[in-house]
Amino acid sequence: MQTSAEKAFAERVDTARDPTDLIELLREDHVDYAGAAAAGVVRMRGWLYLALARFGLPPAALPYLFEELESGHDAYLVAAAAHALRTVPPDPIHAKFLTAALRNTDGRDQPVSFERFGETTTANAPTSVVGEILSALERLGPMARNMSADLAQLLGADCLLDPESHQRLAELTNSLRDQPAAFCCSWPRGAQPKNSSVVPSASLAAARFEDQDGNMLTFSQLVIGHPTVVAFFYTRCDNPLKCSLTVAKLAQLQRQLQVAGVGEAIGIVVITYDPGYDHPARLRAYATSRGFCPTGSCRVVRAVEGFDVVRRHFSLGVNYAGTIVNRHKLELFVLDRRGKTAAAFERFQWDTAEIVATAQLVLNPPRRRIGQWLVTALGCAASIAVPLFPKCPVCWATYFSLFGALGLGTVPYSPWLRTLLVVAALCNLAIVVWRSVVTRWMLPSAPVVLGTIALLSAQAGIEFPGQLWAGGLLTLVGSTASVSVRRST
Amino acid sequence: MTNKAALAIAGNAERKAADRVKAIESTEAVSYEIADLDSLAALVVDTKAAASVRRAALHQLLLAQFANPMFSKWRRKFISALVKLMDDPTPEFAEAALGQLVKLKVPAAQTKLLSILRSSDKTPISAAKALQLLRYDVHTDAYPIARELADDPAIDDRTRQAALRLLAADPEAADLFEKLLKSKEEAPEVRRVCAAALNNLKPKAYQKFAQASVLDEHENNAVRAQSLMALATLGDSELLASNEQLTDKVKELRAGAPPAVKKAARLYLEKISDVV
Amino acid sequence: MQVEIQINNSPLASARFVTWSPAPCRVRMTDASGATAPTTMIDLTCAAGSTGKVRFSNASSGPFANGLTLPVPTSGASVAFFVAGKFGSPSTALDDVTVEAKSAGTSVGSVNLTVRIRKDANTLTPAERDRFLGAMGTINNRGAGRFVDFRDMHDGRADREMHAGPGFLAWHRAYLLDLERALQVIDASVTIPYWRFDKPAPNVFTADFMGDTDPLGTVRFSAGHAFEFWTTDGMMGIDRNPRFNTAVQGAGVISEAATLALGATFATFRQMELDPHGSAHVSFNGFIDNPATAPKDPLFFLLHANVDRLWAKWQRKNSLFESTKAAAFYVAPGGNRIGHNLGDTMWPWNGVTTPPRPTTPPPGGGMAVSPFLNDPWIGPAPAVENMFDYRGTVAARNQLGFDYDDVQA
Repeated sequence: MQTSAEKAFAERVDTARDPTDLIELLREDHVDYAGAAAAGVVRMRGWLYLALARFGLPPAALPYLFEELESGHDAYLVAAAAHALRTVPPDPIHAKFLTAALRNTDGRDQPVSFERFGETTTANAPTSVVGEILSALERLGPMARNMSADLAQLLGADCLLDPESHQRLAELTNSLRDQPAAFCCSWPRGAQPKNSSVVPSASLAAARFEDQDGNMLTFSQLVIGHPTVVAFFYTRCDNPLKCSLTVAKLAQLQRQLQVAGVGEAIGIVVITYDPGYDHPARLRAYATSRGFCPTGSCRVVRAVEGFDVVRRHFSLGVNYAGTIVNRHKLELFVLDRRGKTAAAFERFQWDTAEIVATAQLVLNPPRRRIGQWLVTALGCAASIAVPLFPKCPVCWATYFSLFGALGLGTVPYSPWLRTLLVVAALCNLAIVVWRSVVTRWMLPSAPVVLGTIALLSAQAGIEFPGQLWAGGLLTLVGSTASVSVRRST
Repeated sequence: MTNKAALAIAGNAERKAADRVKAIESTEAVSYEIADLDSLAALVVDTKAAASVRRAALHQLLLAQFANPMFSKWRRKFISALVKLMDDPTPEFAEAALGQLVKLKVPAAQTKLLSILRSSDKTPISAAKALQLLRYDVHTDAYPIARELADDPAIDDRTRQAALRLLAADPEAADLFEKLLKSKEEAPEVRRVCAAALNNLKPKAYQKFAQASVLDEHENNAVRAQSLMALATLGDSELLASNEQLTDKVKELRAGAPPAVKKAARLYLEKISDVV
Repeated sequence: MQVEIQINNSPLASARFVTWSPAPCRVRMTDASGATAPTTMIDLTCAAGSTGKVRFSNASSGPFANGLTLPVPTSGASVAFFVAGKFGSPSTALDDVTVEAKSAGTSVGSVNLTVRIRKDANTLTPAERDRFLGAMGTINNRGAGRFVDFRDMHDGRADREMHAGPGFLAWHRAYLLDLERALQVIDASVTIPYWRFDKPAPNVFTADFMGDTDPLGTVRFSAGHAFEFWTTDGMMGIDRNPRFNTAVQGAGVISEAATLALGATFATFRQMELDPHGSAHVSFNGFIDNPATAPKDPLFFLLHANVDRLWAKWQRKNSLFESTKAAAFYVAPGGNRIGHNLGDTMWPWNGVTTPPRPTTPPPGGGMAVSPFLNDPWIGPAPAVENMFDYRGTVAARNQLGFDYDDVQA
């Protein structure tokens, strides 16, 4: 039964003129979902997916839909996500998520209706979740080639598809059999770069938690002093692909960290979204039944004070109807020793090996590589030496008279050095631009480009006041920025 | 007779209801094909068919859920039939459909039940029954209305208790349960429901109440027996063993109290004797 | 003079449990004072006053008797013998059987043990009933206890692992055994009783046992009942409305005789999954009438104990404890689906999370280990075939440590 808030949401979605008006509504923590029961959130989000599809799904919406397909369990939402995916240009990556959705819905098909807001199922519903997934796969055609083996496996003796769906899937897999493998760019999964400039605030540091044994600890006590993997869950989550699987994988992670010899050095803290309900006995039972051993710096906790601060700090993708969680995303963070977020794994199913690798990097950050020093050196040389390079033998003599005063011998005038420095500036530019492409952070390139132009144009005789110093400064700043901020690749 | 032949008789509206029922009951649910399941579903939703025929068909479908290898493949159509059935004018079938749909976690059932509760849907299912079925989903939207009903002095006991049972999953209701549990004016049945709910939401608060209620000379015996059993099976043995006042009282109760209290007292003493 | 008697060849109290099947035991002299010869004849009997009864033999097969005389060396070397519960005389409480050793009429040693047998729920003593209820209430622990794993094992997502296939009976036998062993950690005397669903069971559906029902279908328990706090999936209470008169009728199922007569081969006998098993489930309206929610009702386990008992009885009737006998199992042309072949390990105990097994975390970890039996599987994951010879009839090491009060050895 729709509430007035839901109706207002539906109207907002129906009257939106631009998809960018709707993208923000995809966030789980959007204020429009606050107070809505889980079923209401399902109705709202499903309607939103369909609306975005009418505009031609914007790229920013894709992660949400992929998450729905990979880990969702509401038939209406999964169906709407598959339906919406048909409106974007086909891509091999879609097949991966659609296949996951098909596997998840095996034996659990449900009729769905997209005709009216609020009606997720009707007696004569024209489609079903499996039907929508298959339609999306069929539309991909040869682009689904990479998943043909997985799809064929679904047709095995254990297949629980109804005969019509079975037939469709069989035809699809037959059609894919002789197709060449499609190039499948990897969806940016794994660690998402997270700006680690934010240290835990005083109020976050002081937030209080109770662990599975009833011990009270602050956030600082939980995470400061060692890298920590922080994940979120709640025991009443009815989606086995989210919280239950998360905690089971954290148990695996715990074992893998032990095997890697860093089990004592890296903590794991699992925080419940549902502190009012998940008391210590519940936390312990949930974790241990999934193989997680709460011991040492591995704990399962609930916030007894300051959960709002935690929620804001991590920008948690969760919302509530009262105190009952109505929706949440998958989210896991790797914090460094100071409690700053070094990496985040959000929305997609993560691999424990990835977390181990990331946590180990945070534990033992690599020294700067020679290439980085080279860039710094080149940048500095270009930025300082080029402006100062004597343009004529008289200036040359003047500089080296200074060196003579310091007891250094003279060096004959060597204009070829200027050429070398110009080449150094160009090399520096090339390296900075390459680093920007690789790290997807273009900001440092801009000043280096401008600075190099200024320096080189001066050498070419195009001059304006302050040109050399500005060029040098810009080159220096950009080069330093390029190597100073470590970003995940 | 094959399933197909039997279902053909069952589907024949001109046959007597008794014959149709007999035909349905003669079928073997384990070997139904998709077409057989379709036939049974058609009978279940056929409002013109006799109730006995529809009931028999529904029974066979429920049976098939347990043993028929085709059933999961047919699930979508089963849900479609149930969604149709939940609007049935006959309460028995509407209720049966809703009962199955909540177990299958089909959201349409929650929507329908909430409408019934808010009286905007005239399907003749009681509020108590609606509350009972709504609680199958802890993420239900029914908590606010359940709170209203639990607070409504005019509401009947059965509906009130159903509302309280639903609220047992809502941490925000813990204070309500504690208040009702402590109130000796409330009926013992209500207090016992509240005890279980409080134990679910705030076990420490309940354990504290349970100890106090055992010591309370004026406590209702049913509530006291429940408290003792909770302490015996779910309490912290070491903590309890160190409470001498409580132990002495329980010994007294074991010697002379109504049977339920005595039994619980004995269990309690057995439990703490493992520690002592 | 003193002798030590070990049941199941173990000195531990946790091993002092027997069924109707022979259990290996040993006796040895621990204090030979007064002995005048290298061996002393020791008489082993079941002491008077024992509620449960056992019988003795010096071999695992052949006749068992009420007593046994053995020459026991004064050197302290052990002498083997076997003990089996006397059919019809199970224990009613922990350690209510005393095996006494006498030498020339003088008691020289004794040990208490339990003939631990699954019984008809309708005929349990109040004490037996309450111990079972107490253990179940404890394992549920208002929804936060280990029972969550057992509930989650029988989830809709894993339905094909356990239903509508030849592995149905084996899977549920393992399921019951896993739960029973978990209950026995709480109270070692407890077994899962069976609900004999083809007959009236007026003592079962009472407020003191599995509950009676109000008009809404909410199950009611007497004050102080261990299930007053029963919670599953965050939901308090149990919904169960019988479609038959529990006081005077059995559930609408075929009779035991008809079940056993379904056929002499497993291929036909397995129809019992539908009736009486399925019929018993849908003889109620409530949690138990849908596979996805059935184990939320503790009655589920009593129902399945009876299903398992019927299989056990059928096995005995047809001498089909050996899984490799063609009549003992059913293999479809082309093989059965995964989880339903004799050699398949069973989910969730096998911990597999790759398709075609369920990909969600398998609840509960490996199968509970017996404290005194060498479970006939390697590691914690039983296979379908490990569930057949539960008595050790084919090979003693196959014993699983349970038996039924009316299924004779």
